[in-house]
Amino acid sequence: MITKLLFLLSESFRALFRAKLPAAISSITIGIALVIFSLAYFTYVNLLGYSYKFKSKYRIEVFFQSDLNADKARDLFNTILISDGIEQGEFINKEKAAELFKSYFHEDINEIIGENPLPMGGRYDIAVDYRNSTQMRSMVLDIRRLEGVDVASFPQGVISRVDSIVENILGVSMAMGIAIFIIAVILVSNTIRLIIHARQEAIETMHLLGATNSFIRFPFVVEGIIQGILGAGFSLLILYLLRSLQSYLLEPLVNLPLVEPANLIAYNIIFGLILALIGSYRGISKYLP
Amino acid sequence: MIKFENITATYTDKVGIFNLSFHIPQGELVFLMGPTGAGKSTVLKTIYRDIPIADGILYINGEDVGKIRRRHIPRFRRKIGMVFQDYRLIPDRTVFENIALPLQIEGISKKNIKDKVREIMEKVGLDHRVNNYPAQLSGGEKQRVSIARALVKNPLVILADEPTGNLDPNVSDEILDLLEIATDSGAAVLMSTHNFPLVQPRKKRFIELNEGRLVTQ
Repeated sequence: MITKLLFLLSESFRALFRAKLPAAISSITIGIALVIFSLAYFTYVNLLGYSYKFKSKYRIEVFFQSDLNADKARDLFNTILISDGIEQGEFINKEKAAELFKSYFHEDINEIIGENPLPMGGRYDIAVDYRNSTQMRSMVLDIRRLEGVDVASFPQGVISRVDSIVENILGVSMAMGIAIFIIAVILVSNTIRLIIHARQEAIETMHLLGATNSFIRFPFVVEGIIQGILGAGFSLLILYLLRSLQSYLLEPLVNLPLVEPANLIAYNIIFGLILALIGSYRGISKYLP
Repeated sequence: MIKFENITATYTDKVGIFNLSFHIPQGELVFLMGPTGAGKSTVLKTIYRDIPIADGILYINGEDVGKIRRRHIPRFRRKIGMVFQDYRLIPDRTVFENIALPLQIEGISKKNIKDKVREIMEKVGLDHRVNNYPAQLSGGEKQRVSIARALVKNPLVILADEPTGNLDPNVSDEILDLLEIATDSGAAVLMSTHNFPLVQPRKKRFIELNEGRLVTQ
C-alpha cells in the first residue's frame, strides 16, 4: 500500500513536471482568482467594519405627550426600553431637554419664552440585529402605538440609503466572486483535460494492464492539489506586494484605518485547494467516469 | 486455462464472434488465424472483458469471466499478460519503468520490482536497454519490452494481438520464440495473426476464424 502510494506521489510530481506550462497557467489562474477573492474579502471586512461603526449610531428618538407627568413618563420610557431591539436608552426629562436645546441652538429656552415647553422623552440605541431600515421602521410603528407617545422617529432616509449601498456592494462582490470561481474552475478543469487528453493512450494502456480508475486518477488529483497550493502561494505573494505598495504610497497621504482580515493565509490555501480539486475533478470525470 | 463454451460477443448484431467453443490448456501456445475482420481481436477483447459476453460461458483459470463485476475487471486483467501489435509502451517512461508498470499497479515492493524486472529483461535480451526510452528502440526491441511487460507478473494467460504485424520475418521469429518460452512457466498463450507462413513451421495448434465463426481448430 505504502509502495503504491509512494509510486503514485512520484507519478504526480512527474506528471506536473511533464506538463509544466499548462500546470503553470493553471496555478496562475488559481492565484489570480484568489487575489481577487482576497481583495473582495478585504473590502467586505472593512466595509462591514465601517458600516458597523456607522450603524452603532442608529437611534430612535421618542417624544412623549407634554401632559404626561414625570412618573408616567419614566414608566413609558422603561416600557420602551425593554421592548425587542432596544439595546440601551437615555431618559430625557425636561431639564435634560432644555440642555439639549441649548447645546443645539446656543439659546436658553426658559429665557426665550419664559418657561420650558419641551416634552420629556427618550433616546434609544438599537441592538445589532435590528440596525436596518425595515426593523427600525417596525419598531417605531410599535412605539407610536403606545399611549402617551407623541412622536417616535429615526433617520429613515439615511439608513435606507446606507442599507442599500452596503447591500449593493455585497451583491456585486458576491456575483463577482461566483463568476471568478466559475471561470477559475473551468480554466483549471480544461488544463487538466488537456493534460489527460495528451496522456489518453497511456491511460488506456494502464487500464488494459489492470489499473483501476482511482489509481489513474490519483496523480491528477495530487497534481490539482499542488496547483492549488502553488496558486495560493502566488496569490499571497501578490497580496504582500500590494500591501507593501499601499503602505508605501497611500498611507502617508490618506489616513484610512484598514482592518487586515485574520486567517487570510489559511483562506487562500483552503480556497486554492477547493478551486483546484473541483477543477481537477471536473477535468478527470470526462475521461474517467 | 482458457475455455470458450458457445460464446457470442458482438459490437452490433452483425459484427463480432458467434457461438465459439475451444479450449487452450495450461502451457500451450495456440495461434488464432483468420483474415482481417474475422474476429481475432474480438476473441482477445472478450477474454479481457473489453466487450461484454452476449451468450455462452467463458472460463479463464476456472473463473467465469461473464460473472466478473465491472469494478473487479481491473483486478482480473492483472492476471493476464497482453502484447499488442502497436506495443502500447508509454513514451515518457524508460524500458525499465514500462516493464515495471504492471508490478507497480499491483503494489509490489520496490526491491521485488527491481529484481523481477532485471530478471525478465535479461530473459528477453534487453538488459543493455534499461534506461532507454521507447523512441530509442527498434520495432523488435519495442515488442520485446511489450512481451517482458506481459511476462513480468508471471501470468497464467498471455494474449498477443498480432505481435509480429509490424516486424520483419527474422525479428518476428524471435518474438515467437519468446512467446514459446512463456509457455514453459505454464502460461496458456493465445496469439492472433494472419501470417500463416510465419507460424506454420512451429507445428502448433491453430484456431481459424472467418466472419466471427470457427472454421477449423
